[in-house]
Amino acid sequence: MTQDDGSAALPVRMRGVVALDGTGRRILDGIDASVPARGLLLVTGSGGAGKSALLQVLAAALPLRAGEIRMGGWTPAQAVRRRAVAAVFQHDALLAGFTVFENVLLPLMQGLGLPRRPAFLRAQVLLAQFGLIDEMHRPPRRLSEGQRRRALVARAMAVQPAVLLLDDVLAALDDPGRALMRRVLAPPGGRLATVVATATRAGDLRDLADAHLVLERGVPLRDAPAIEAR
Amino acid sequence: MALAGGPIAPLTPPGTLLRVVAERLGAAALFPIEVLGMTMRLVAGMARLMVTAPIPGGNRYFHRHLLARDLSAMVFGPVPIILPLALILGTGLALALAMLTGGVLTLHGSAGLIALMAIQQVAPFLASGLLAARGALPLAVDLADMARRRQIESLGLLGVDVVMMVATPRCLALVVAACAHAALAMVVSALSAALALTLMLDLPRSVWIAAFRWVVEPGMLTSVAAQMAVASTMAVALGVVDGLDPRRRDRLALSGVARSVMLKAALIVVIINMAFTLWRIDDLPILVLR
Repeated sequence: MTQDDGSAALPVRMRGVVALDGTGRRILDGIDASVPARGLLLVTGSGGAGKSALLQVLAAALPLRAGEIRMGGWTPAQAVRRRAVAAVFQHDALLAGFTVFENVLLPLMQGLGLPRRPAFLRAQVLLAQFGLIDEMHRPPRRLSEGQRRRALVARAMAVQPAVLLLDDVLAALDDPGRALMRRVLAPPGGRLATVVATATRAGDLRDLADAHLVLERGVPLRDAPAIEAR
Repeated sequence: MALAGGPIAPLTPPGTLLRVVAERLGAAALFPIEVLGMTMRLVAGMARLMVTAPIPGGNRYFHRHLLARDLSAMVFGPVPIILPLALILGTGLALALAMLTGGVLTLHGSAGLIALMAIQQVAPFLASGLLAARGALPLAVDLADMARRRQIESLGLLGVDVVMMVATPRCLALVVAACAHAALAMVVSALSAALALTLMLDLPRSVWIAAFRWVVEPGMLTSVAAQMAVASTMAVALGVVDGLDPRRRDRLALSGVARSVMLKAALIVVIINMAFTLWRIDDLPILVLR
């Protein structure tokens, strides 16, 4: 069951999830999936398969038209209200007027309300973990796309969410960046959050995943390759 | 041949035509509730920012940062445009009014009318229009881009109200800058008007000094400051509301946002300035009589 402070990872369970786009077309239809707390659910599919839409539903940014989603005992809206969910969306970006460091600092001071000193310390630790300590005082425009994606994940992880939603975060990364992100998503001591990650191909995340959902035009592919138990 | 199937859906969904017409005409008045609601939020946010920003160690770090950046851009950026425009308008207006009223009004009346127009009406109009365009337009485009990228949602998940965080310092900076630029435009247009009158009409210096002194009084200055504050806040509110308009998020074109905001902001600025102008126009008969 969930922790009261929302800081512990939560299991995610989806049953018969249906979502519509602005024109009333079904973009998700009958999605069933579940992942244990601290697990990684990998969602794959081609462009337009509904991967981003699924993350938006999980982030309560898109309404659920039918079915049920539970994050521990909470609906997505309840989990969002308790600051238990963080996300990096596909076209997400850092705030242009701030440095990379300030972008990571932002949720710590504004979101969590941490005092200046501990917030600065935690932001520096996170940036070091993501290999961005040398770039921390640069504006986002001076970073490569891969570095920006890493900074976005660092920003999302700053609030220590119970559920972390990552939309295609490996796409723009080079090989060292992918290796670094793998280490962050599968740390030696185990994950602190439940992760739902999307990718066009299973690729680098396949061996880290605890569950695998393959989508095609918003519908789960029933004969999707299973994830071997690790 | 009979056509099969149910009723044919209309090509234009209900309400779309009205909205398109409204946007084309810049009819901000058709969406007053959202703009007024956002104006109230901005006023509350600015009040909170002014109270908490000076507190050292408070978590207004980002607001202070943005306020400093916006103030710098708003106060110093438009100076090269405001100065020549105020100079040209002050001189042109003085000459035009002097010629029009020369045969009708007394020397004092003409000078008073010119002072009234140059200082009270034209300068605030110029400053608020220019600042609204400079403040509201980029804000609306930035917010529309952030909405398209879902930055607002992702930061909202982290507990950051990015809309108010970005818009509140911009609004406060705009109010301060608008007041400063109105004062600058008033001084420049008054001086240029006085110079033009002295050179062209051989008006005694004492006449226009008396007229300008009469026009610049605390009540008028308060009214101009209020005009600047209302116009700036409503222009920013409009920029926020229009930038975040969910009805066009999926088919977003940033140029369309800019055009729509420009038209609506211009309309709002004109309406507010006209209202204040008409409020102050009561001074005119007194001046003419004098």
